[in-house]
Amino acid sequence: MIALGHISLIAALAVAGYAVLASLIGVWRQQPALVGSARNAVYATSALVVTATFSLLWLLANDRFEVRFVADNSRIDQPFVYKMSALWSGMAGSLLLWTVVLCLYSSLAAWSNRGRHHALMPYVYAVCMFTTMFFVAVQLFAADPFEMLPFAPQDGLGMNPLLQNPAMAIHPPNLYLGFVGFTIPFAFAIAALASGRLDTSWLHAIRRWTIISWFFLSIGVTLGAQWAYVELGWGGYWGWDPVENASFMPWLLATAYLHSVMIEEKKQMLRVWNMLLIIATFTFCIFGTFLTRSGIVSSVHAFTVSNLGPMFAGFLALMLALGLGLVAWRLPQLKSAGQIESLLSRESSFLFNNLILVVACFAILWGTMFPVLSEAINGVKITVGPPFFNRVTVPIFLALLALTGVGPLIAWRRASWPSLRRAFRWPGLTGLATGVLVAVMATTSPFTLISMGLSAFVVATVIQEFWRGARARAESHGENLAQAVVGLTMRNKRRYGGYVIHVGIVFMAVGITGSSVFQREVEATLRPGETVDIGDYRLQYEEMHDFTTQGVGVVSTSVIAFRGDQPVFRLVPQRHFHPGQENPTTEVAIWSSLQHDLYLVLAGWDPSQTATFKVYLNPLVKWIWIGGAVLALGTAICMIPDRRRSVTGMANY
Amino acid sequence: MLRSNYPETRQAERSPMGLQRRQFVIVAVLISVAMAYLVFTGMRDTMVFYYTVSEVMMQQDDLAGTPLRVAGKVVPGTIEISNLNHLDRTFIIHEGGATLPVVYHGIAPDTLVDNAEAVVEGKLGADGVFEATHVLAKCPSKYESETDYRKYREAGVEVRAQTST
Repeated sequence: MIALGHISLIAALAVAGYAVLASLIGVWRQQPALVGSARNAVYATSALVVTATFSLLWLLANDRFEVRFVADNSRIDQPFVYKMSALWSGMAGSLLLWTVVLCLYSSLAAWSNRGRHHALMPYVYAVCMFTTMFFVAVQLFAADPFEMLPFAPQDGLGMNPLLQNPAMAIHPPNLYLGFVGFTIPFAFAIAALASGRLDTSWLHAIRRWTIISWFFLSIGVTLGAQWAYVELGWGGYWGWDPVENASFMPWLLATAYLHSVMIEEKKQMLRVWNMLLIIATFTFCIFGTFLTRSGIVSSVHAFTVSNLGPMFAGFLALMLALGLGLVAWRLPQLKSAGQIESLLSRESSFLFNNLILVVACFAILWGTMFPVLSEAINGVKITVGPPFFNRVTVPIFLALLALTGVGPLIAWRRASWPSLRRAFRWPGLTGLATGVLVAVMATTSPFTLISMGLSAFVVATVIQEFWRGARARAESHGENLAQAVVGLTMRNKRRYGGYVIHVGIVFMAVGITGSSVFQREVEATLRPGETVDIGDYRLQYEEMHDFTTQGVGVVSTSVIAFRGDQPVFRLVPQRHFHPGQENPTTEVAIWSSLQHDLYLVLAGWDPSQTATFKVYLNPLVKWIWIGGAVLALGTAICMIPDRRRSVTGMANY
Repeated sequence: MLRSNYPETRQAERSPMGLQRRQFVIVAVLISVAMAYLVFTGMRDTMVFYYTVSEVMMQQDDLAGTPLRVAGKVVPGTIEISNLNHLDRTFIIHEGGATLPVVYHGIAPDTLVDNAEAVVEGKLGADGVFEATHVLAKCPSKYESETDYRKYREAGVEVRAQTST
């Protein structure tokens, strides 16, 4: 199996190389047979990479610890699920996962567009397979998943216990389904530029790819936050860690693209801008993969660790040069057909939303990479942490939130003042009233008032849009309101799905605002029977006991929460002693409601049963996860294929 | 083309050259300047120097009181946790032949163990003890680079000589 995996990878490199050459020569010499052969080579490459992936999974399942990757990430008594998810708990396996997803996507793109886009597809094959070659080469030359140890350990080191968590088991694949997905739009963009077919057909070809990738990326980022929250035990969910930023930056760019592409489809404008956004999104996805896997920012002297850095830097430079060079070459053909007519128009609100999203991305990039930059420039590593990111991004995201409400209400082309007054009257008043209400109820910063007011404003705009559309439809179609809402949504899925996504974003904004502004925390060292107060709760420490389950030693404490005199729930924070790990892991106890989360960490204890707890009261956190689910639902609505062309629509995936 | 049939478009074409464009450029420039200001002042007020232990010890007197991040390895056996509250802990980190004592109050990451690569953030006190407000210890997904034979030995995993491949 080791040999099979290894040989598959080497063969995949060769076949992908053939696919690149055959498709390019085929299109230049106009030999369709050669392009067809290149397409078959795409399928063959996929088969080979799938074989390599199954080989590694088989090695993991069968505890073949002579393979370094298996020994590092698995152990005999690791649950089977985590033996499988070990595939993405280390660098080499993650790269293999990246490659296999890319291959399957490429095959899907090739298969679903067979017989269409004849001018574009050869270049699409070439770009996808060249990217595949790069990732396979990285595995063969820098991070080999099938590398052998000079000896065979009897047991492996096992996956880090922190990663043995359901959210963590599905978070990386989600993120990668998103990251990798943007390769296909990038490939089509390059194809359109190279072939000169710059009409909107390539935009239609990638519509689904962008929304699906964005879907997975959003879920991936949210799951990552959730994992940090339940597993890391510091009471928060987002630390502006380079790894988190790496997944967030492409999301910002992709979000910008999803908005600005509507203007291109409608008015043939912003064509260069959209090209650049797609190229940048792809670049940031590759860069993000590199950032999460190399540790370049967090470790003190990172560049020397492996030849991974130069390989990624080289590939990124090449892809950027290719993309930007082609854009520059085609610049005369990418002239906008229309122009923006007024500052008060939906186009312009989208334009500003784009500007802000892109600037936000680069501000985060700047903060993330500053340690590396400052070290390269004057030899001193200077870091900026969460205080920097919060300061910079809070005003940015408030501005975005405002535009989220403005965009849907403002007319295309040119809005008139009376129409604006009519559109904004109720949402504006709702937002204002909410701001005032928050100001009366809680003494807090202006940012909080603005955030809560804007959130209410955006929700009101969405409700108003649904209400107006549904009422008109109910009258004209003779439906009741519920039918009309469904009918309305199904008729214009992207628009109304988009509104649902906006509501998800608002829920998240509310959760983030509430939990970061109103968080409370206390520490207490208690003997059994003693209590500590937080908010309306009185927590009584009952008892501690220890036991062993499935080879894991557990120290468990039980704490009862009282509200008034009534016991309302019990929390059981623990520490787990995993075999082979020096230190116990923290198992946080969380009691969650729509209002707030009570988050309890067992910080320490001694034999006399005295225990120290850290307690957080995190308001509204649950709204972040609910917002994530609503956002996923909205995106799913956008992805439903249109019925009238369902046959070809399916093939569009 | 088709669009020029709209009266608004014709009107826009007739309007004084580039009025809209100028408005957009002004707004875009304003936004960019505001962002640049945010980033600049944010950097100025929150930046933290990142040193290794030996670099800190070389300029100890200059650095007292400035916000710092310091990287080093935890000296085995030096982690001491207060019995009173389990939250006050002291440990020593070392790098390049220099050592630095650290005090920290709070929940330390699970990964803070003997020999862990730690990054402490805080200030160097006048007494030479580093008062940390944050402690990071090497993140789980980055364990791999130093994987080697010794690591297996240290982890206590039984090793048998490899006889065949």
